[in-house]
Amino acid sequence: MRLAAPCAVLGWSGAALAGGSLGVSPPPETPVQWQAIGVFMVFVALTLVITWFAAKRTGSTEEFYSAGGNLRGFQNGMAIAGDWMSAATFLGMSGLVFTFGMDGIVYAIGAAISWPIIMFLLSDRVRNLGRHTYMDVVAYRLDNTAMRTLGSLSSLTIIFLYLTAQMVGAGALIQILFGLPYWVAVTLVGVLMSIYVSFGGMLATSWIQIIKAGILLVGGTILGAMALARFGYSLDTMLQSASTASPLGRDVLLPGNLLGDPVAALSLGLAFLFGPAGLPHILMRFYTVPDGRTARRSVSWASLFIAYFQIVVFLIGLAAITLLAGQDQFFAGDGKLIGGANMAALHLSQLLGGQWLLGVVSAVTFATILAVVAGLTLSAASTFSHDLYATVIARGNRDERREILISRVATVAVGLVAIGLGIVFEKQNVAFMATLSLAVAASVNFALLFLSLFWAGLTTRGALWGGIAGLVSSIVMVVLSAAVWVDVLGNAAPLFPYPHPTIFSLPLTLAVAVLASLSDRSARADRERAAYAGQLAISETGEQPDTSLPPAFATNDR
Amino acid sequence: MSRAREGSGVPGGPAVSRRTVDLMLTAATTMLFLGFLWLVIGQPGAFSAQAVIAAGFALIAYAVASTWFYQRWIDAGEDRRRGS
Repeated sequence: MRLAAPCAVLGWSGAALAGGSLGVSPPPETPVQWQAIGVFMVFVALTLVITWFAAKRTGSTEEFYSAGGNLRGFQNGMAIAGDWMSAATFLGMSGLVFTFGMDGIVYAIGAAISWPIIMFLLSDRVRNLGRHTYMDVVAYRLDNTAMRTLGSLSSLTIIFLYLTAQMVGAGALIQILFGLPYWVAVTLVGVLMSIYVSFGGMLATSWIQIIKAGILLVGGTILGAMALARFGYSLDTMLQSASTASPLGRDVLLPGNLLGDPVAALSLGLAFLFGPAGLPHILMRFYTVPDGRTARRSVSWASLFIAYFQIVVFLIGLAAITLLAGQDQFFAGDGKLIGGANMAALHLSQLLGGQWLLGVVSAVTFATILAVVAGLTLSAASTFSHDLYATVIARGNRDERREILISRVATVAVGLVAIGLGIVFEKQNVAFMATLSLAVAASVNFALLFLSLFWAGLTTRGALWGGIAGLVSSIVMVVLSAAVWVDVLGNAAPLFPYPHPTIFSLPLTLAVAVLASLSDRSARADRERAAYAGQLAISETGEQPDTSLPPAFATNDR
Repeated sequence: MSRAREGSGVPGGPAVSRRTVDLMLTAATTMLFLGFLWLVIGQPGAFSAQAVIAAGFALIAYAVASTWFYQRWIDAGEDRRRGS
């Protein structure tokens, strides 16, 4: 089961491969790779220096949670891309294309297609209505305590599921890449992410994401260019070679090798479309810029970087089909790629550039994992200190210094819990965690954000019932699916036939929230509905409603 | 108040609120992606690899272009409203 882990680290791409369909083989005895460790040490030293400088500029909650709101659109776009371009995007997707061929294009599009949705529906609205977390938006006109409690529950569910999948995967992957023991790798990741976040807050986390995104883009481009050069930069040549070299033959050029069922494909598609729009660590990034306009600009840059990277990684995976074929040094005795299909890009880097390129790409991969878990940790700490402590427990009577202290303590606690979960789940198949986290993000966080921003009729009761329905249904359907019911619990057949629940759980959330809101006749519900017009104006303009506004921003929607 | 005119704030723009435009764009994007999935997965073998890749890259290009043009469109509307 160990090598379910590299599959799981790869997060949302890897999640689709739950059930071991990727065909991984046991890790070999890996020698210590000094080139990789050397490059990685440079990255760690650089990030620690950044953290030291950031710590001197992180004294207020505004600075800790939102980097003072001073990032530019380009910088935040890079940081958002860094948050999104995890090892999943790089190793998971290239491995997926290497194994299943044309289905990889679905994942490439899926990773890019959510950004227009985030742009159209959320980016500036979330920025204009909130301060530190997305729950500021949902709780804007609804009951603060109820909404933040529900939001904290769903956000922490998402974060800890994804964090655990990342930690387990990171441990196994680093074991292969660097030759370090599993527990050392997990502890190293946990300690470093705690240092970054507790001392440097959002400023350090943002710059680590920016640097990581930069080196990932450069590294991917170099590897992609070297691979494409072998085919004379001809896509036709690459496709013809792949159909000859792949064990699937010409089928490698046909979609459906992995995503055979249209309903499963549509459910995955909905998770791709709306899941990222509900991820707390992505939404939190909109508060690092000064205004809604810069938030929109951030999404434009992020979509450009992410789209470019998706295409590069798709081509790397396609090239690997041909270039790795017949290279016996990369295959185990059972004919499978050493370390599993997710290692395709790394083996390709060794083939094309020797130990040094492998070292650089390995170090970039480790840096990628580190940056992603830092973003998740900061988001979890903010949920504890901003949503739970400052608003629910202190009821708004917040002490800023105490809140920052709680954030830092929460960061260390999250780091320790993440290390513990990583070690406890070492030998478990955790691929379902990534599936579940994206399903909850789409079915709870996105659904509630969408209704609160676009439907005047949403009430606290509707949001609560809808959110609970989405959370429970997502968890139940994933537990009853093959990824848990068969692969983890050892049953013969799944009770829920699809790998992704979003096609059922998202409509369920929306339906329950609408019905519960429509049937809410309380005075509080009337007040909440009446507050929508003001919220709408602020969400679209960032300004308090003004009767002198031109009719462009007037509305009679209520 | 009356229904928003020139909802996006863009000269000659549609006579609907920005909210309506955003929802229509979201629905169109969703249909594009789900339609692609339905065609490609639902009818394996109906399209060549080159066609699937071309359509896929076109969708990715749409994702980038739509965010860029949308951002400029809304920025222009804000500038117009503020009289700059």
